[in-house]
This record gives sequence, C-alpha cells and structure tokens, in this order.
Amino acid sequence: MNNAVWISLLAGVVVAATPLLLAAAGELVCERAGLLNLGVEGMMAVGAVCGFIAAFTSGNAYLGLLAGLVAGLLCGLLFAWLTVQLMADQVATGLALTILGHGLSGFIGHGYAGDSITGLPALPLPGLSDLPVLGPILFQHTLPVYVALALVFGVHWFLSRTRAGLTLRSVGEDPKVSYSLGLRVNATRYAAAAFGGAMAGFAGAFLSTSYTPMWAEGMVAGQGWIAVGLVVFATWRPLRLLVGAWLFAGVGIGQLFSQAAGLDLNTYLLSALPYLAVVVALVLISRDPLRIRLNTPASLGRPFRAET
Amino acid sequence: MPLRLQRRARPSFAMRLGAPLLAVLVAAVIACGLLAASGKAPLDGFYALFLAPLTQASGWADVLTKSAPLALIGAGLVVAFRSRVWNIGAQGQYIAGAVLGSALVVHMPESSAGWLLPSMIVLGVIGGLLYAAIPAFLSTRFNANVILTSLMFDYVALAGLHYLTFGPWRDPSSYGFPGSVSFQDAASLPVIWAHTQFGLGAVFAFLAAPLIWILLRSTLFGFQVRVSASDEASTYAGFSRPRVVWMALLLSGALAGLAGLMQVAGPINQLRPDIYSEVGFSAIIVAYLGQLNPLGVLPAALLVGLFSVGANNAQITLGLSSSLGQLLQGVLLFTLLASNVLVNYRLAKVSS
Repeated sequence: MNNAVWISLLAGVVVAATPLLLAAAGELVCERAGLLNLGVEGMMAVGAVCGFIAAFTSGNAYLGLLAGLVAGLLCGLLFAWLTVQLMADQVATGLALTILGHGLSGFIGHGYAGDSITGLPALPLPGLSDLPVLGPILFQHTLPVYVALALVFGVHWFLSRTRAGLTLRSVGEDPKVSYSLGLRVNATRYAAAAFGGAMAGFAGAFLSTSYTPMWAEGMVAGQGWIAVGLVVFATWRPLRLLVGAWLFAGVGIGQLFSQAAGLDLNTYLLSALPYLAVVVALVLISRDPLRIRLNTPASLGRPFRAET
Repeated sequence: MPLRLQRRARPSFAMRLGAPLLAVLVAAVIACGLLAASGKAPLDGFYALFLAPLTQASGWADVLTKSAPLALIGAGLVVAFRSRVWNIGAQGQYIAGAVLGSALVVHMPESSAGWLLPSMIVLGVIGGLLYAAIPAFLSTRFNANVILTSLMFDYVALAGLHYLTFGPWRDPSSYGFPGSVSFQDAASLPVIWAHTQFGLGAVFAFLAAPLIWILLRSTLFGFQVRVSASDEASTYAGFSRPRVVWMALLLSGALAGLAGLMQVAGPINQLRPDIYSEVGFSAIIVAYLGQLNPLGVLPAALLVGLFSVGANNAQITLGLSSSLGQLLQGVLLFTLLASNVLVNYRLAKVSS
C-alpha cells in the first residue's frame, strides 16, 4: 500500500475526530465545573438539524455552524436551569436532554431528509498546507477541524492559566468553599453548561454541514456518548482528549482502514468496534480507582444550593 | 413580590404525587404549542394525541400492549436507579433477551413441542441477565462507569441484531426483507383480547411492578437498595456495594430481557431489526415518572404508552413526524424534573 493512501486515511481520522473533540472539550469544561451533562448526544442532534436547516435556507454553510452553536447553547442553558436553579438530578436531566434532542431533531427535521446543501469549503492554511505529509493530514480541512484542534489547546490554557479557569475548577471541586470565598458558583456553572452545549451544537452542525452535508435522523449515532466517554478516558485533562479522539475516530473509520489493508472484515462487527473500543479504554483507565478518584472533579454530579 | 424557593422541613408526600400530574399538564400544553407551531389546529392535535386512542376499545388494547414492556423494564429500572446503579443499557438487554429467546425458533421453526415457549422465556431472561452482567463485571472488577459501558453495549447489541436479521437468521422466503421467520403458534404467547395484540405476556408484565414493590419493602435486598441513597448508611450497615451493583444490574437486565422476548414472541411475532424502537429510553422515563416507586411505574407506563399510540395516530391523521412521540416523552421528563423541585422546596413570597 502506498503512502498517499495512508496520508488520506490519517487525514480522514483528523476529520472524523473533529466532532468528538469539539463535543468532548465542551463536556470537559462543563464537568470541571461540577456538572455531569449526559445530554451531549441530544444537543449534537439538535445542533445538526438546526445547522442543516439554517444552511439550507440561507445557502450559507457558515450560518449553519452558527445556528448549530446557538441551538446547542440554548440546550446547555436549559440543562443548567434544571440542574443549577431547580437542583434536578443531573443524570436524569442529561438523559431527558438526550431523549428530547432526538425527538426534537426528528420533529423539526421532518421534511428536510434527503435535501442537499453545498458543504463547507476546505480552507488550506497558507504555507502549512504545502508541508509534506503533515500538510495534507492536518492543514487542508474545513474551518471546524482547525477550531477543534485550537479548542483543545485553548481549553487547556483557560483551565490552567487563567483566573476564570481557576474559578471554574474550584467551583467543580468544592462549591461550598468557593461560595464562601465569594465566587459566583451558579453563574460559573451556567456559563460552563452553556459552553458545553454550544460546543456540542457546533459539533452537530459540523456533521450536517461539512462531514456529510445532509441531514438524516439519528445521524449523530452515539458520537455524543463517545464524547462523554472520551472525557473520562482523558481523566478530565484537555490535551489527552486528542489521543482519545484520534484513537476512537481511527477505530470509527476502521472500515476504510481494513479495505486499504485488503482485509475483509464483517461490516456489522466493524460498526460495533468504536463502542467496544470505548469500553476497553474505560476499563483500562478506570482499573486504578485512585487515579479516577484523584482526577474526577469532586463535586461532579452533586447539586449545590447556597443556604441563606 | 418575588417568589423564591424555600426548603421544606420534610419532603412533601402530596407533591410527590402532584408533581407528575403537574408535569403531564404542562407537557400537554407544550405539546399543543408545538402542534400550533407546526401549523396544525392545537385542539385537533390534542384530540388525535391524547383522546382518539381512548375512544375505541382497540385503542385501549394498543395502549395496554405498548405499556406492558415499559412497565416491565421500568419496574427493573426502579430497583437499579434507587440503588444508584445507572443502568441505561436496558435497550441492549432487551435486544439480548429477544435474540437469545429467538434462537430456538430459528433453529426449529417447525417444532410444536410444549416445552418450546417456556424455554424461550427462560432464555429471554438469561439473555438480558447475561448482557447486564457485562457492565456489572466491568464496574465491580475494573471500576468502569456503568452509565457509559451499559450504553455502549446498546450499540453493540444493535449491530448484533442487524447482523443476525440481515444475515444468517434471515427468513429465506422473505423476498430479501430482513427478519427471522414468523414464530409458529407453539412459540407465541397467546393473544387474550381477540382481534388485538394484547396477549398473555402483557398481563404478566403488569404483575412485575407489584412484585418489585414487595421485594423492595419486605426483603433484605430491598432494604439494601433503599439504603443505597446514602453511602454512609450503607457502609455503616456493612452492606457490600458490589453485591448491590450486581443484583441491581442482573435484576433490571433480566426484566428487560424478558420484555424483549415477550415482544418478539408476542405482538411482533418475529425477530426484526426494528424491534426496539427506543423502548429502553422510554422505560427510563417511565421509571422517573413513577417517582422511582414500583407502583408508580404502572400509571406512568400507561401514560407513556398512550403518548406513543397517540403520536402514531397523529402521524397518520395529521401527517406529523414520527418523532413526535419521542419529543413528547422528552418534554414530559423535563417538566417532571422541573416539577419535582416542589417535593423538597416550597415557593415562598419574600418581601424586599
């Protein structure tokens, strides 16, 4: 097999990892603030359908991305309203968001299935895209692919180097102490949930305006759940998301790899592989309970209310 | 004068009953709003969704048939969720039960042996139980998150179901349509309401909830489940957490597997790639809507069953999307979670 095939496969991995990275980076920020949002799958579905409809009606795929982002942000705020304001159970609320998002996307997308749009254009980065090997793998993609890569480093910088990031982490570790120090716990959690939602919506819109420029019911196909798993795999550290996302995306397009390598694997087995890969990865990471306990944001999943 | 939340001295029992009713009312109003937004007359929509199924006897039978697997899975999920074991893989366990139970029929499609149906039921239970044992093992042995592993195995089960129904188990005389042979009489649960799909399986399904209620009230395991709400109390009582995780997953998995078998050997009558239709997620809604009380699961299952029959009805008569049912279930769970704040808090007026 020649090098060109491998380069195009690796470029495919980078593209396929994009929705995982976007959604997982958003979820990571949300979880570091103490909110476990299991609604990523649903928020991506809503982002995908809103993004597609906006791109279809306006004729501009970038507007689609924006619409997906805003729709996801609203979903994130809805989650925060229930879990922060009304102290609803986070697991139940996240599941509700996933079910609602699936239903809503089917409901409003009814009638758009089968329509096609012009997808986002590729934006080769000047200079970098001409590099041998790395150029075609990393620098000849559509805008969200670059955004996803930048986002991972941006989130790392934000959490470890800024005051707002420190506030967010301390809210996630101990909301009571943070509150008594005068930090705005609820506002921080609202913002984190909104960011997580926006990134999930953006990831969904990437799927429907760029990855496959069309909309179909159930097109998110578990990628939101894989993103949630990715956050655990990365033990809540942003840079480790890259490793996991590329790994899972590589397994996800395993069909292309196996064809390229001349293997004839069962397609049903291949379609189950990404999910099995997540399970294996979770088992390997979680085997050491201490590591999970030390890295999990201490207040994750627990409601907080300032008793006045 | 602004309102704010004030913690109640103890959870309100009246609101525990009242919150689901409030949630249903608000969800119905939102449903009418959605219908209006999609250009339908809201009252026509409301009628098609919630009332039309109840105007005919066959509609009642449909609602009962739809509710039965939800009540069965929901009752198991109550035990899991009360134990704080987040088994959200009921979908996969349902498929596993249906598949393992169907294996006998696929290999002896002519058999009219009396032991066939009972063996299928046992295999259905074992299928769901074994499938739930995987996340239980991964959780207790390797500390892996049950939410994620149980859910990932949903997708794996689905791939397996598609493999079998499009591949080796496909009925050779089906003109290429996916799905196993239709089950012969000896492999089917009898219909007990003539000219409908309401069968014996559904009757047994509704019995699960009261049995689980007794289990939770009167057994040591039930006590362990109820104490699980508090880590300190469970540890102090010396209860083993892995044991509770195992039991909760095995029990909820077994009931989901039984539900899967009951559907393929009942209303569906064959193993098809579309046997699941989100029944696992609907059962989660049923468990919460029943306030995680096994007896509450029964009215909750009937209501969600009505929603899904009504949504099918609205799809046919008003040309609405088939996703309407799922959307309404999502809305309902949201309004329920929001209403539940009133169980522990009251709205109080504050001056200033």
